[in-house]
This record gives sequence, C-alpha cells and structure tokens, in this order.
Amino acid sequence: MNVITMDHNTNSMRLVLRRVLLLLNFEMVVFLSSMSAMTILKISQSTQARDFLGEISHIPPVPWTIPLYSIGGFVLLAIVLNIKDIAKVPQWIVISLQIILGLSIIYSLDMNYNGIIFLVAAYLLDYFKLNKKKLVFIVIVGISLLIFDFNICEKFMPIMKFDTYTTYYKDIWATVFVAIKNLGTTCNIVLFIAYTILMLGEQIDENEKINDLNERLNDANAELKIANIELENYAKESEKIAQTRERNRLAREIHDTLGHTLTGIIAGLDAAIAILPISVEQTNKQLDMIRDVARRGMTDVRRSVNALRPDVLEREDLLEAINHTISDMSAASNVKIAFNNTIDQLRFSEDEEEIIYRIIQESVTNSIRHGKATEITIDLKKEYSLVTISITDNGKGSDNIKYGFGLTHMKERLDMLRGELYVESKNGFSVVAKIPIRWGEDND
Amino acid sequence: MTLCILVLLCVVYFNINNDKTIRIGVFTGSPWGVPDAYTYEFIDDAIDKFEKEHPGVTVEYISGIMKEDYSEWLSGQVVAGKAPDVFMVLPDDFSVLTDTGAIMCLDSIISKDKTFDSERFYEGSYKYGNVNGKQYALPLESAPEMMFVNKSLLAKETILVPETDWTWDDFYNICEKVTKDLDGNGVIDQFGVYNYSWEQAFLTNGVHIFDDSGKNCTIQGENAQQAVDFLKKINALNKGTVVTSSDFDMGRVAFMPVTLAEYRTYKPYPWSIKKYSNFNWECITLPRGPQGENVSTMNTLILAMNSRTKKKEVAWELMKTFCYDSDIQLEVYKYRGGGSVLKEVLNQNQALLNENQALPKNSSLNIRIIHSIMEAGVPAYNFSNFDDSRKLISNGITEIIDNNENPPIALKNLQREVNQSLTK
Repeated sequence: MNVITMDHNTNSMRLVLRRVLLLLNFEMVVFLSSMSAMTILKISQSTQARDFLGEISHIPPVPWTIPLYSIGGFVLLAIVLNIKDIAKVPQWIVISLQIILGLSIIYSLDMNYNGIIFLVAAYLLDYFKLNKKKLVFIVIVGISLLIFDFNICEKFMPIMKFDTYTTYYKDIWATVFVAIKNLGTTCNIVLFIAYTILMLGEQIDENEKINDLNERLNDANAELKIANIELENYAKESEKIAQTRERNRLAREIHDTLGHTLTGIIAGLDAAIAILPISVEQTNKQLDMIRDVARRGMTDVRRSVNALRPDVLEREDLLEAINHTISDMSAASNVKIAFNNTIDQLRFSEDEEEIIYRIIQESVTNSIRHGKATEITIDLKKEYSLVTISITDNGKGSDNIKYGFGLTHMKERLDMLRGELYVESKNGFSVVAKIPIRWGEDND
Repeated sequence: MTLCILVLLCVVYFNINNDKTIRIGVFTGSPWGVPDAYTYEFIDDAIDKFEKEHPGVTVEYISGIMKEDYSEWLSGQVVAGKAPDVFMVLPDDFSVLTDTGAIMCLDSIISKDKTFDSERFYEGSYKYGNVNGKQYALPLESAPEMMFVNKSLLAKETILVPETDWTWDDFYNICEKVTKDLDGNGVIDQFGVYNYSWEQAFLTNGVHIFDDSGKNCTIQGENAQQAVDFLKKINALNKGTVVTSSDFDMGRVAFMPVTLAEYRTYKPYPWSIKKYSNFNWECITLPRGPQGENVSTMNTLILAMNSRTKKKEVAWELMKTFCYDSDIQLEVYKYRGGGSVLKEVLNQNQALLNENQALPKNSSLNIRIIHSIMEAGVPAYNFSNFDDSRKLISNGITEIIDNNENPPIALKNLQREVNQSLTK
C-alpha cells in the first residue's frame, strides 16, 4: 500500500512538471514572437530601417504574422498534446501532428528557439514504453536538436537571428532580452531533465512492482496446491454423503410405493369385507379394483426400481401419472378427489416431477388413511415464480401435527428444491408445497 | 456552425481577392540631382492610362516623399512588411533589396508574357535591372554620361567643337591648348577638364572593371595601363593646381562630364539663367581611347516589384505601363531630365520630339546623337560591394598618379587588393 502511494506521488509530480514545461514554453513563444514583432515595427518606424536592411541577409517576416503563427501554432500543439485523453484518434496521426506542429512553431520563430522539441519529446516519451524504442527516440530528439538550430538552418533558410533584434536596443534592454531568452532556454532543459529522471524512476518502480507481483503469484500457487488437496478430501467425504443420501432415497421409495399400495389394498379390503354380506356383485367389483391397485403398486415398484437406474429411465407424463393415481385411489376408497391444474405447460425436470407426484400421492394417502376424508381437492398452480401444490381434505385432521416418516420425507425432498412445506389442520387437513420455478427464462 | 465558418472564410477570401487596389512607391524630385518640377505629371498620366486599361483597379501612391527620404521610407515599409506592390528603387538600395529578397525576380513573369520583348529597351537601361543573370527590375528612366563643352572658351581659343567620334588625342590636344595662366601670376587659371574620372577613362578604353557577378575585378592589362597613363598626362597639364567647380562655373574650364539630365535641365530656360549663364555651352560624347569606343555609363532609375505582393499579374501590368508603354515613356522624356528607356521613343519620333521642344532650341546636339549615346550606353554596376570597391580603386589610382608609381605593378597590386575585398 505504501509503495503504491509513493508511486502515485512521483507520477503526479511528473505530470505537474510537464504542465510547467508547457507553460514555460508558451511563455517563451509569446515572449520571443512579440519581442521580434515589436522590434521589427520599431525599426520600421525609426530612421534605422535602411541600415537594418543593409545588415541582414533576408527581409524580416511581416511583424503581425510572427505571433499569429507561433502562438496560434502553440495553442493547437497544446490541444494535440492532450488529445490522447480527449478523443480516440490513431496514435500515429497524433504523433505526427505533434511533431509537425512543433517544427512549425520553431520555424515561425526563425529557429531561434528549439526548446519546443523538449516539450514535444516530454509528451512523446509516454508513447514509447519499450526501452529500445525509447533509446531510438532520444537519439532522434538529439539529432533534431542539432538540425533545428539557427546556425545550421541559417545556411538554407531565410531566417533572422534573435540577436539581430536585440542589438537594435542600445541600452540595458538588449541584455535583459538576451537574459530572458537564455534563462528560458536553460529552465526548459533543466525541467526536461528532471522530467526524464522522474520518468526513469517510475519505470524502475514499475519493474519492482512486477517482481513483487511475481512473488505473490508464487505464493498463490502454493496456496492453490493446498486447496487442491483439501478439495480431494472433500470429494471423498461428499461421496460418503451421497451414499447415505442414496440409502435414504431407497427407504423413501419403499415407503412411497409399497406403503401407498398396501394402504389402498387394506382400505379396499375393508370396504369389500363390509359390503360382502350386502352384495356379492359389488364385492367382486371392489376386489377387481383392489387387484388394479395392487397392479398399480407393482408398476410403482418397477418404476422405483427404474428410477434408481437412471440409464434406463422410463417416465410417464406427470399429469397422466397424477390423474391415474387419483382415479385409482378414488375408485379404491370411494373418496371424491378433485384435481385442478391451472398451469398450461408443465416443464418440470425429472426430480421436480418426481417430488410433485410424491407429495400428491403421500398427501392423498394420508388424508384417506389418517383423516378418513371423503373429499379431497388438489390444486396445482403457478404464482409468480413459485409452483404451488395444495392438497385439502374434509377429514378429521389432527390436533397436533406429527411429522411422521411421510411428512418428513416430503420436507426433505422439498428442501432439495429449495421449496417450502406448509401443513395446516383446520376444518380438515391441508398440505401446501411451494417450489421455486426452475425452468429457464428463455422458455417462459 | 461549421457552415457558418466556411461561409465567413469564403467572404473574407473573396474580399481579399477582390481588393483591386495596387500601391506604387514613388519619390518626388529628380534621381539625377537636378531640379524637377514635373514629378507627378507622368506618374498621374501613367496611372490614368493604367486604370482605363484595367477597369476596377485603383492605383495608389503616397505623394510628397522626397528623394532624400525615400530610401529610409521604403526600407521602413519593407521591414514592416507593408512595402507597395511596385516601387521605384534608388541605385544605392538596389543591391540591398535584391540581396534581402525584398524584390521579386521577374524572370518567370517575363517568360510567361509572350507580348513582352526586352529588345525594345536600350540594352544599357534594361541590363541595369539584371543581377547575376536574373532580371529584378524594369528601367523607368536613364541618364547617360556626356561631355559638357564650353563653346565660348573654345571659340575664344579658336578651337572647333569636336565631332562625336573624337578621341583621347583630340581631347588631350584641346586641353593642352586651353591650359594657361591668363593673368600671368604664375598660377594656371584656365583648364582643360574638370571632374574627368578614371571610370570614364577605363570605360572609353574598353576596360570592363568588374564581371557581371561583381566577384572579380580586372584592372591590370594594357587597356587599363593606357587609361592610367592618359589620366597622368591630363593631370600633369595643370602642374599641380587643383581645378574647382567654381572655376568651371566661371567659364574657365573647357570640359566636364555631366549626365543627360543635367544637360536637359540647365540648357533651356529657366534654369539656363541660374547656371552656366555667362558662357555658351554644348554637350557631346565622351572621347574614346585607342582601344575603346565613345561610350558612357548609363545611370538608370528602375521600377521593381515587391516580393510579397499578392497581385503579381496586376503589378506586372502596372510596371509595363510605366516602363514599356511608349506614350508614357514619351512623357518621361518630356517631363523628366533623363531619357526614355525605350529605343522607339527617341529613334522614331524625332519630328514629334522636336515639336515638343524636347531638346533645347539652340542645341546642336540632335536626338539621333542622344539615341546613339544611349544605345551604346553601358549599365552602371549594381552589385552590393560596388561602392566600397569603387572607393578602393579611386584611392589606388589617385595614389598611382600622385606618386607617379609604375602602372603595371601598381595596378596588379590594386587588383589583388580589390579582389580580396570582394571575396570577403
């Protein structure tokens, strides 16, 4: 944390330095251009114009164009130098624009001040992160400093030396002007060197940071290995848990299928015994039905066995299965069972279907077996993102609800789906199960 | 927004391009140092003619700038970047203005202008505008050198006025005859010639002192030696007495080199009363040496174009109206001291010129002679170090004559000295 703060400080200091460099150069451009223009105007209005012409090798620029071109060029340059943060312009365009503008300003000041090269270089250094490129770039800057020098360009271009203007002032002002120019040039170089040092420092910091990150990466690798071993252990443990869970499931299946069928058969046989003295015919019918229930039970057992073998799963449609069960139960026990489904499309996954089916089956069995109900209503509906299954009967209910094997299993199964179970005994018995809808939003 | 700026730029551009005012820089007074009453006559006429031929174009000039102030004024304008599109250039400024690039080179304009024929100018006038093979100016007015002859003095001494093809020998003989001590006080008080310089002697004996580039000086050799010997001879006649201008004004000198402008100014009324009024005088050609011709240096006032002008074509047309239009050139001849720079003005319009009293009535010098003098005129040197070199040679030759040095050796040394100063 400490390292990062310090780093931030040098970075912001470097940027401040760069701003100062920009301001200093602006000042120099304003000073040199306005001083040149003023002097030319003064000479033209004095009686020294003819002598002045005799001393120079080229006519001076038109006075007002010097500040116009150089200051105008500088404002454009300042914009382009900061364009990186403003717009997404291709880098090579920005770089060439910066160089062209920089050179134009130097030219418009008659090559008398090439400090602009340092300014542009300070900004361009940011573009070249690689050391090799940076080195090449610094060499180019050096060469351009040599080339864009008054004494060399004088031979090829119609340019005017700054001293030509200062010598016009015979008094102390000549010295003052030369001093200002030299001071500006020196400050410019010092600022640029300081800027470069800060930049190099930053790069060293950056390298240190990379080393630091490498170390951290190694540490993380070691930690990862330990975590891997722990994960292996955990996998072994969860295998055991799976085994236990599977056993529970087997127990549930046995209870659900055999228990339910046997309840039906017992209830049917009770009825058959009761009506045997009254009507043999009715009793026969009843016995037929009991046989059907037993067959159904047989099928259920097969189903359970199949369910335990996921590779050969054979499934019946959920609604079909529910209807089948209801008609079987209602026929076997003379209980009126109404089933209302308001969901258009049932798109439950296998485990959901299984659980819904089992909840209905268990609740109906309970109502008949324990509640002695004569009417049972089953509602299957969708409320918001929940599927609600409610089974209500008109039986005697129970004053204190005991969570027997059936209810406990119902709850356990629902927990697996993050569902909830509500049980109420009031004018009969009602079981409400709420399961969050899992089917995909894209299908909805 | 962008559209607004574009429209604005178009309007500005249109206005700049539509600005049909052209400026010309002129000075008042004669470039030849003679009184001049009609400076603006031909300028105004030329501008009128130009504006008629180029409808919509207005020519502007600032009047009242004296010749003495013109150099400083023009320099100030050039330095401030406000110089007129076309301006007159005085001989002293020409090399500075071409060297600093204040004057536009006309070569490309001339090569494009198919109607322009430089042959119409006197070669001596036209070549004055040429620097290192490039034409920088057009001649406006030329004044060749001539020899002023005191006719009264010659008549008194029963000597005939020399013919136009007279030689150094004729010249020397007359000078020898007239050089006398009239009052017998032992001091010579009547002289042959005043102000005859080494330049005239060299030129009339076929010595080309400088080459066209102005980088090489040649003053050694037989021709130059003859000239120096002749100067020594002429000088020796006075036996050490120095001739002054008052001697000349009082009619006690037979010859003096003058320019055409001086002749044309002082010969007719009213200036004839002011100067040289107590004797009868005339002008003839300069005498020729054994190796040379009766030629003379032609001083020329030129018109140049500002190198920064935005109206090159119009400026060129204006320059042509001033320098290349025979009507305007006739006015230059009529109103000003010098001669026209166009051959046809002096050559073909003789009758017209006579009618217009272009030459003094009592003159024996006719227009044909002036034309031939101008045709043979040699342009004055116009390179930048010319003044310094001339002073150097003047001093050197004065020393040779005064100290009676051996001309071949002394001239060789002088030539080396001048060449050294030229290469600096």
